[in-house]
Amino acid sequence: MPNIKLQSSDGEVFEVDVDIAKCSVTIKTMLEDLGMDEDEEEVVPLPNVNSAILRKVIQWATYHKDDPPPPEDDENKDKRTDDISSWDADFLKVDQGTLYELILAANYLDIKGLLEVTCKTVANMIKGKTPEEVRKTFNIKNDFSPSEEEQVRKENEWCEEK
Amino acid sequence: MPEVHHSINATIVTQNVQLPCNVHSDNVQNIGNGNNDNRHEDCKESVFNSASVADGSLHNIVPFQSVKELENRQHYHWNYKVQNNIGEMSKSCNLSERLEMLTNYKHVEYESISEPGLMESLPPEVLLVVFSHLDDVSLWSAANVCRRWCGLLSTHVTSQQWQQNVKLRWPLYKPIGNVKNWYKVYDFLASSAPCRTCLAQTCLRSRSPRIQENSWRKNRLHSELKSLRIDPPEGIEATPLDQMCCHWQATITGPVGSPYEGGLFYLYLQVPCSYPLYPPVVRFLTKILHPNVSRHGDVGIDSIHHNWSLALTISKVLISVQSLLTDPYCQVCMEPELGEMYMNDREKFDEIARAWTWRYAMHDVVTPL
Repeated sequence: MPNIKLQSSDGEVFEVDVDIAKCSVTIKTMLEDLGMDEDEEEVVPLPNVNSAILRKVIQWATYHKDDPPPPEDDENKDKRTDDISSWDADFLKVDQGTLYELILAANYLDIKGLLEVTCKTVANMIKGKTPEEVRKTFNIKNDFSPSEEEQVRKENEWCEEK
Repeated sequence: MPEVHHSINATIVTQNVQLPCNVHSDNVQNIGNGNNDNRHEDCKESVFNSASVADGSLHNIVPFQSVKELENRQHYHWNYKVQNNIGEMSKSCNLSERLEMLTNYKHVEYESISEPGLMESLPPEVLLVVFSHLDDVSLWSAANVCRRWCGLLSTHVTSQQWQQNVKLRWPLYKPIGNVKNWYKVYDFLASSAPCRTCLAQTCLRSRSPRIQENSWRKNRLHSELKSLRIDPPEGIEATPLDQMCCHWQATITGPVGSPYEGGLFYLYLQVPCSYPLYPPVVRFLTKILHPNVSRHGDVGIDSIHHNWSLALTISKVLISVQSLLTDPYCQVCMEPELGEMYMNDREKFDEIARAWTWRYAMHDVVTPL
């Protein structure tokens, strides 16, 4: 199997099987557009992905290299998020910063499967929570105006401790 | 809109604690307390076998176990406070916090992060992929997180989709006139529900529970349904949500002359497999200020608990809930504090109850949609 070299933003070079690298649509088109010969010793620069994340992405792509291509149409996609495989679930047991970087990398590299599963993981972190809990979970600032908030708070005032 | 301004020092917790124990003793008469553990055990053991519903009843059971740990607490905050440290959960929880946590499952599984708002700042196309995996209730939550998410969702989730969501959650909702913004309708209805989990449950019809239905239940429900359709009691509507008629939604209009007049109250009913041997679970899906309705929406009338009889039907249950709105039973209350207010300061009670009706139960009249 021919290999290609991928260079992360911090300069580390990874040698990857071409078929595995091609699960990234971005890399695939890049190779096609550039007409890169697979024998060439050229390095593909990936300025948006650091080495830690690229290593994870390659790990994911290697495990999933034999997966059937994901279905194209978005229309009848169901909202299931409990179908994350146990390997993926383990793989995604990372802190939010890493998860965030993985999502960005999956988006940039256009790896549909990885984007799907990371987004599902984030969706699972949102599911069943109140807005306030979602804010806490992701450390999001509440930027609604105080009057909107006030209204929510007033709802239960009859039994509020004073 | 009138504002609810009254606040009372709460001693309700200790009073509530006594009730579940009393329920089991036979000499307590006419108990209007729905919090009895008995019922929940019924649910758990004999009602539904399907896992999905078991979740629901589990969610009912737990609060009242935790109540015992809270006996000594005099005060509590109704507003939910997020626990920072999962390990210390049992230490700092009071009843309302617990209830809140139970009504909103999956709270404590997150670790907080230091970098602010990473997920918030995901590019829109990625956030939309995330949102595409959310059910309508979570989507509604997400829309209330911050302005950016709200804006993103309002431009990418169409009014038609919200209309479908409203139909799914509140099949009995009938708009007066033309609705321009279905998200507002959804927002209004969802924010007037006392419990998010119960709201999410109303959608269980999508999964068909695998239960063995006996012909008694089937025939009985069939005839009940027929008479509900042909000759519904005044101000009452009810419709099953799934094929097996395990989940129902009902509406009750506030009785004339009561502080609930003009309001339309949604209810959720869970009809067990063992129906009619066992009563249905009845819960309000619209916030209501009433001594016999808990803040969680549970209705405390004897007929759907220990005084259930085979002669009762779903429509009779709903009629008794409706008449309860006119005449609260204050000897035993779900919310003793409200019972006290009802007995001693009727004017104030009526005022607040009316304000709640305006705020939560008048879906079309109050908010310009």
